[in-house]
Amino acid sequence: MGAFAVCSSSTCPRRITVLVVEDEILVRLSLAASLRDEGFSVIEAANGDEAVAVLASSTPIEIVLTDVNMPGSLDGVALSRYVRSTRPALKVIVVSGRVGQAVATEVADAFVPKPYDPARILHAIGRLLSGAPE
Amino acid sequence: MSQDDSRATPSQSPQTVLVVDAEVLVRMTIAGYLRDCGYRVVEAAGADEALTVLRQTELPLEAVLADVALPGPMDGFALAQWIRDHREGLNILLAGTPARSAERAAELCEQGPELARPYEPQVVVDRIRRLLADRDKPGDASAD
Repeated sequence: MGAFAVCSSSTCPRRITVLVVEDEILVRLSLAASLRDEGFSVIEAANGDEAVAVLASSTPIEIVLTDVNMPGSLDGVALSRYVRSTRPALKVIVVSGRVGQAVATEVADAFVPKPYDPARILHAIGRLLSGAPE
Repeated sequence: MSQDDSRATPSQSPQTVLVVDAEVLVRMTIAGYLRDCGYRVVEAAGADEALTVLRQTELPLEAVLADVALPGPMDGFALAQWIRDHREGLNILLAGTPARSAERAAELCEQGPELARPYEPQVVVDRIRRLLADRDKPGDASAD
C-alpha cells in the first residue's frame, strides 16, 4: 500500500501529507522514513505543542498520526481533541502502548497499539483515506 | 546554474543532513526544501534529539545544520563542539544572528561565517553543496 495507491501521482495534484507527532526521535525518524518511502509527504513534530503550531499554519495536512505520552502542554489525547475541534476534516490516528483502544477511538479515527509494525500504520492510513470500515 | 536547475539536481546517492532547530515551522520549511533538492534529512527539535541521532554511528550523516540559539543546556555552539570531539569529519553549519555569533562560528564551522536565520533556503542548499563538494575534493583532507 502506498500513498499513490489512494491518489496516484498522475491524478492527484500533490501527495497526501501526514503529520507525525512523536517525542522519541528515533521512533519518529523511522516512522517518517517508512511513510516517505511509501510516497507520503511527512511533517515531523516532536510534541503536541509543535503539532499545534503546524496545524495553525496554512500547511495542508490530511492525516495526524500521534503518540499519546509526550512532554509539553498537550498529550496525544488532548491533541486529538484539539484536531477534532479545529480541523474536523482531518483524520487522526492515535498510536500508544498505554492508552487503550476505547479511549483512543473516542478521540481519534483509528488506533494502533505500540509496539507496532509500520505496515499496520500504513494499513490504517489506507483504510482512512479510502473510507473503508475497520 | 539557475535556481530551478540547482533544485532539480538530486545527488546520485542522497547525502544526509541533520537539521537541528527548535522552531518547528522553520525546521519543517528548510527540511522540506533540502528534501526537494535531493538530500535525505533527519530532523531534530533540539540538541538532545541531535545527540541521540549523532550517537547512532551506523546512521550515515554528511552535514549538520544547527541553529546557534537552541534552547536547553546545549546550544548550537556546544553541539558543534560535541560534534568536533565525537564525530570528526562531519561538516557543521551553524545558523543564527551574525552579530551574536560570527567569531565563534568561524572557529567552529568548517566553512567561514554561519548562515543567517531566517533561512534563505537556496543559500542553505548552495552552502551545503559547496561544503560537501569541498570535503570530497582529493587532497583537501580538512586542512585544519
